[in-house]
Amino acid sequence: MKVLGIESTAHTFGVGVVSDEHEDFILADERANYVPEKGGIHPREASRFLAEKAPEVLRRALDSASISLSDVDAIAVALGPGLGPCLRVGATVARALAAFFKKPLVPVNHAVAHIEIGLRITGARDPVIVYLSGGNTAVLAFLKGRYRVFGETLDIALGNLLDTFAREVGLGPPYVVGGFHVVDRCAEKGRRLLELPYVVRGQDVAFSGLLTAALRAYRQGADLEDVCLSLREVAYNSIIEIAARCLTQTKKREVMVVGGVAASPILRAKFETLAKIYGVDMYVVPPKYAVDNGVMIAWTGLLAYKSGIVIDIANAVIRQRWRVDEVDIPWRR
Amino acid sequence: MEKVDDVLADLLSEDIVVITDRGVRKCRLLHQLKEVWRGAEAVIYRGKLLDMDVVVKWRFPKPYLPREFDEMMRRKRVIDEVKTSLRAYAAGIPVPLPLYADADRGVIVFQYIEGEVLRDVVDTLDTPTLCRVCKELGEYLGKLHEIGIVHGDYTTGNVIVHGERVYIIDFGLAMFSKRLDDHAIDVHIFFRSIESTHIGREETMKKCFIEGYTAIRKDVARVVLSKVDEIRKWGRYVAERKLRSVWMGS
Repeated sequence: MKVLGIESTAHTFGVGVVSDEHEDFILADERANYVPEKGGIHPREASRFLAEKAPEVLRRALDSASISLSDVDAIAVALGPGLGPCLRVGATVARALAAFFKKPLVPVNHAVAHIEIGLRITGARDPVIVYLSGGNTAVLAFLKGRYRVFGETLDIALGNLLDTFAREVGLGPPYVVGGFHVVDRCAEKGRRLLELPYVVRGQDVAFSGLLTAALRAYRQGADLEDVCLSLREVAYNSIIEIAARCLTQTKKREVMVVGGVAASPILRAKFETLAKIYGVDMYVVPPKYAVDNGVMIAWTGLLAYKSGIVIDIANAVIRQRWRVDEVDIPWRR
Repeated sequence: MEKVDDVLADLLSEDIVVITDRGVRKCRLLHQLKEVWRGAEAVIYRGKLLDMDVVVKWRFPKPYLPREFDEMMRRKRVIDEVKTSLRAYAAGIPVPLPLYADADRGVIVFQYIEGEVLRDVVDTLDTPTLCRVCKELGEYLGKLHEIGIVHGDYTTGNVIVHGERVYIIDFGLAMFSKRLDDHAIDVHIFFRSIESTHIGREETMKKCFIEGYTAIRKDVARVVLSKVDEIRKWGRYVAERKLRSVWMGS
């Protein structure tokens, strides 16, 4: 079986083709990334870029897989969560392809896709999942048919915190240089730890107070490198703490870190130490598949399609707010 | 990793002479430590302090943290936990009494509370009993908030039930705050803990909890409860927060 998947939830237009016939399951993986000249992602500008690139990326994917659209068994598309204008680009392309080539259309949740591709690539079986990206910070675990949110951020996401801080103090964009986040790099030279608000509530974290306090400290003349170090330690440790709480309560034996921020070597080292303390196995999704891509949509679409999940073209509307814990996962038990 | 036996070596090897009306005898200051639970930031031991049954909570050093930061965190949490526990105890809320604390070593010794964790016995309780327990939990949280304490992890896993008595344990994430937003987060944490673990009983539990909480906080309770609804909508991608597109599903 071959499935073509389309990702366009934020800044990436990705098309992937996967098959369940070979161990080497990725037949094509093509992407185009929107990089804003300054500031963050403007949804309108991003969607314009995605719409321009869509035909070319699709063409490249089909060429590199050496197949035509009539060869695929289903079309999968990320219908949410994400930015509305961007989601509409992918949904429009997917609906058109499904209608014209008379292929079944499979709805995929972007967050579930990050998890599924992580499991497929790392070989983890039933881990505590730490999902860290620009828009998401959550600790999840599979329980009773769904990926349940064990703890999450009550306000802004980790990636959001780091990027906003970097932008406000003039360290970025770009936010990631040579595999290191600019805040991580700046923290390397920090010496003194400042007292910044550390917020863990039950199983949740919160970062907006931390961001405000860090910016205030910087503006009041604190050494930038010290602020970076303190910000990073407070933010990373609060996530490690809720991950540890999830481990002790669910008694799972694995931890998997997914999402764009998972690439941070500093965070990875901390998770490795954590895993050692609890005697669990640690997996990090490699950066190439930790960021947004079409392969993860195709792979999750393949799993879903085999479980009989399809959607009528007329009903395949986007869903900007589609929580991961609303999605049934019939292919796992 | 450090071991608690090394951290507390001096206490574990100290003999105390106890003089009572029944005579003079020698006993160990602290002994018979047995690990009972390893959590995210602390290990819990059962043991004896003099002849009393106690619980020892040791916040172990976190090797993934810079040392200075780790020490600061552990100190702060030990101090906050002891202060809030004592204040709650003094206000008549049933909590285990801290008997000994050492912020530098990250250790607190508590009075041992006999009984069972509410989370494990909810299914064995009949509705009137469960309602009574939850009403008490509402009253205790109301009282805590009235005296400016936020528990930080108010879940059924942190309640001990012994016969007619209900105890609140683990002030490890507690702090002093009079902000109603902080109080609402406590209530939110409690609601979520019952929704995720006590499917089918949550209506009784919530209703009786609110009854108890309102009995203590009167009009303020309404404000706090409306904030709880707001907090739910802070979550990532909660659909009711903003409905721009309609999902018809397959």
